[in-house]
Amino acid sequence: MTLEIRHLGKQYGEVKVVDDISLTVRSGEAFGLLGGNGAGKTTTIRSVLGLLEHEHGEVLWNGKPFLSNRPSVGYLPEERGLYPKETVSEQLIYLARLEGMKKTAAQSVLKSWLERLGIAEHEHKRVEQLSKGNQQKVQIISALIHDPELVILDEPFSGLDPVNADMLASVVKEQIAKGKALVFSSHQMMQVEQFCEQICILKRGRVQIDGRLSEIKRSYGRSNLILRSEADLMPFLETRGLTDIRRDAQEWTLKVNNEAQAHELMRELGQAGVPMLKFELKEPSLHEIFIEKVGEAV
Amino acid sequence: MRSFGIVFGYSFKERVRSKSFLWMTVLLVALIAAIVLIPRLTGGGTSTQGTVAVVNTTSLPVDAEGLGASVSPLYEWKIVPESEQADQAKLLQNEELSAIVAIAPAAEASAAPQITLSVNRQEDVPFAPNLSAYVERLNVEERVEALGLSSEQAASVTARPSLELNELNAGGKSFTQTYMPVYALLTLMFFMIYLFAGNVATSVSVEKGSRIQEILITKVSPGQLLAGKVFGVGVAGILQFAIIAGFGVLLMSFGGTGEALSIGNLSIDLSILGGQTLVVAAALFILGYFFYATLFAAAGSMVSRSEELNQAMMPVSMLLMACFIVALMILANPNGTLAVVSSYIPFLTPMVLLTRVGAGEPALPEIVLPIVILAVSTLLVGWLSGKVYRNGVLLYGQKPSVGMMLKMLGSAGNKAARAKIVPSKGQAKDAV
Repeated sequence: MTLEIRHLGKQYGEVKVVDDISLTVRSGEAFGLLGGNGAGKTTTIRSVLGLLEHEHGEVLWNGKPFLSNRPSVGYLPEERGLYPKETVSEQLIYLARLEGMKKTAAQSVLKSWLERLGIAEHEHKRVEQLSKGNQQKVQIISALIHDPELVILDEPFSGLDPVNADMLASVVKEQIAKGKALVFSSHQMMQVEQFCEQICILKRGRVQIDGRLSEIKRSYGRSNLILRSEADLMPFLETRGLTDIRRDAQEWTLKVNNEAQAHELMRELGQAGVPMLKFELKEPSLHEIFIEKVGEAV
Repeated sequence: MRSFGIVFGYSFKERVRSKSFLWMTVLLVALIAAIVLIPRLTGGGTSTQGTVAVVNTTSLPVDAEGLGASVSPLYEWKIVPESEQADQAKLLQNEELSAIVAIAPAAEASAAPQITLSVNRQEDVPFAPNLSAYVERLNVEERVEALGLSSEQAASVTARPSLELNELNAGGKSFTQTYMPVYALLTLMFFMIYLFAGNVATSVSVEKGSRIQEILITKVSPGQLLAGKVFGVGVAGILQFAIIAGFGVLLMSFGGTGEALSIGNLSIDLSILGGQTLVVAAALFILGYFFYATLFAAAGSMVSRSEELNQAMMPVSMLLMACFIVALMILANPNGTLAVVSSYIPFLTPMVLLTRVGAGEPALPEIVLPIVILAVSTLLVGWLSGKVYRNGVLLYGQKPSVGMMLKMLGSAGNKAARAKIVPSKGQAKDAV
């Protein structure tokens, strides 16, 4: 099962909010759609789902037009939406039935989900009576109750505390393991790094970088050097013309131009007899790549 | 079709279980019970307009029974001796009596008796002509008897003409008879359509405002969603109407009032609304509901927040109000030009045609043709509203306007045109 977006384009008047985006999401794989505010993530998702018309490009599911051959979709919109005055069970069963589930099947699946997410006691409460975090859990159930083939989560971690974020993370991992095709939009790089093998960073509707996360990182080279020593390394590092240095307690993090430069530095430190506790050469984090590509804080 | 059924069931259940549905039903049932039962509990219709004292100094056999039967059944008649006339005059002064009737012999033996009516206001004695005729008849009978004629001769002299009311209803049914039932039916129709069609708008705006719309649209096509909602709420309306009407019929048949209702001194004969009127009323009720419900749904789909709903509903509410007002205007003249012409205008048809059928005498084509036009228009309006709804439900941050609505209508299934609906800055930001 494959979701394929080819040269998708969408504009409002003269403004191109999505400009020639192409990407492929395979089952058993999570795809991270990254970008700052207004980068075109939600517009891309809405265009895929047919909630918005797009002028250019096409969206395919297993090689056929998505809308006429649509799989069952689990969608967690960025703007959360539930019936505030209806009870949790009623609306979730309603939504499940609209996806073709039988009422009794929906009831039993719902029970297990409510227990899994620890909100079984809220089954017959109105949604407006629940806390924000619990509403978010109900919303997540609404996206997954019918066991969809394609799962699209738009900013799923926003508004969750660390405990619930971990719980959601385990749910997401389980969905990937079950072979779902998963699209994940976020500007929280930590989570994306945790799940997504494929990423795409958008800026003003255009793809800045896309591909396998490991390959992207490799292409950047190992340019982060981490040093740990009881001695003060600052004077030594400064004389080598290195300026982008961050010091936390006994640890120094700095940028090198390439691996050769790092090795040269290690040799010199050895020759100078500086007692070293740690010497680590790392790839840039997704956060750093993101900042570099998008060029703005998130 | 499956999704339609689920949306239909959900909307129906949601509506029936709502507090407003329950209270509205209880309130109307209580109102009907009050209208049917209270007059019976308080002695149902035996109340009188007042008491009239009669002082008879002639030899004519004037009695309370005869007065009640021949002059007016609405008054209590009291025969008093001449000696009490002064006391009665005081009662009249205190308005405890409606009138004093004094019947005295004429000065000349051959002349008719003299009737003197003492009242506070002339309009207190609408029975005066009947009184005069009654006394005249007694007088004639007495004189005929004095002539000693044979019984046939006497009968031929005193024979009274028979009067038969033969109402042809040319140029409209009796206004006094049709006014109240048609008025009541119109009011009921106005409120039911406003309430239920308005409920569709509220429901649409709640789904949009709470953003669940975005999830629903990935599961159900907008057309099925709209149709399921309109039908679900509509059937709930029919159910409510059936409960209220059924209760009314039950009460009236058990209460023994038949088809007549009396509110105060007003007697409403519901039998004037014959089978034809009720069949046409049912058709108009249903078509009127669908016509306005789809329009209200389109209006509801335009708003981003429920606070804006009333503003968006205004143009449709105005149409519905116009429909009600024109129907009331033509109630007195249901066969006039205004009535005939306006019955063909779809948004006026539901109530205007109901008035024409209830109070006027339209020919069959004059009933069928407007209904066909209304049915076709309802389909058309449903189709157009569906288009506005489809575009409207996912558009946020825009002030609802007629211009925006027209833009949505202009995007008739044309993807490129539909995509060109340019959102405001807020919307553009919202959309990405």
